[in-house]
Amino acid sequence: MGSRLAKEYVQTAKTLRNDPAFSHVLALAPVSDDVLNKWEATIEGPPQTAYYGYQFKLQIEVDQNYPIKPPWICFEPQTVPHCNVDYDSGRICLNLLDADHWSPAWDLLHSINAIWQLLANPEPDSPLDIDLACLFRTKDYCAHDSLVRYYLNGGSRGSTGPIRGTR
Amino acid sequence: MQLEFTRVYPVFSWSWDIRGDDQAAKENEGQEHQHQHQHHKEDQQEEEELCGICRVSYNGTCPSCKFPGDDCPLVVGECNHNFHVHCIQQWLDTATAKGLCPMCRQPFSLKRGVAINECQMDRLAKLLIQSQPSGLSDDQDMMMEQEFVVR
Repeated sequence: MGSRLAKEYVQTAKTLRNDPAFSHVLALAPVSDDVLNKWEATIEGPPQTAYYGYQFKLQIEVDQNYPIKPPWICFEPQTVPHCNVDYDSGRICLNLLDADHWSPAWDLLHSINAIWQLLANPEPDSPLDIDLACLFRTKDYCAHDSLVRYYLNGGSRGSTGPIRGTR
Repeated sequence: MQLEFTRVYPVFSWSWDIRGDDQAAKENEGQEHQHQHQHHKEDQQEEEELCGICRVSYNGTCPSCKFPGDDCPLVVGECNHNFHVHCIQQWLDTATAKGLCPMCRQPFSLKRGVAINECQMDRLAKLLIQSQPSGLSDDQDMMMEQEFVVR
């Protein structure tokens, strides 16, 4: 496992430096060079979503059996209002991170990228946040995005910018 | 001129006898891509082909082995995806693998007629039969088993 993580570390650093397709991944690296099984990531909110303009931190822990077992990836608690994220714990519901759907062909960078895509494409049918899921399912995107912004601004109705009616 | 050899230092190199993915693609698409294929090959010399599970070169070892070669063999899937036998075995051994190739999610089986697969057939066949998804009908199960018996 150690050798694969070391390879991923090198490869990821190279990709993040050179590949504009991953420019929304602002950081992805081990917490310290000595401990390769704990990583940290920072991603940018996807454009044309309520998350745009905000940055989100993720904690990653890698099991001894990685890549046979999936990594454990979690947002920082109380930072991400999203129908597939448990707001209080930061837990993410994404099937590729599930042991049943994980494949060892995936790596940490592509997992983080999938989470970024999840931000832009909520899956209201397997929700961890019922309120946001209901708003999204009824296609009330205006209310959905407003509620997301409300949370993102620390619960206060700060400056929200223009609210889009359609998606 | 007469030469006298005092010493000879033989140097050998080896690699697994596999058909690369690009080679298979070439056969499918005919000769017209030969030129392209050559370019491809040049690219690949920089980027060695790696086991999709441990990301170590095919000619290297899985993370738990020290010596490459017969101690840590390579296998070729029917889907043309190659893995260190120890890596794919560890994957197929988990219930969540459901007997599928990690790369393409097709049911994983060893390619016939590939020399390096021969001695691994029995070992993987057992694993694969155990790990077939329960959703398969009896007919399909039978077919799988027969297929392996034939081999």
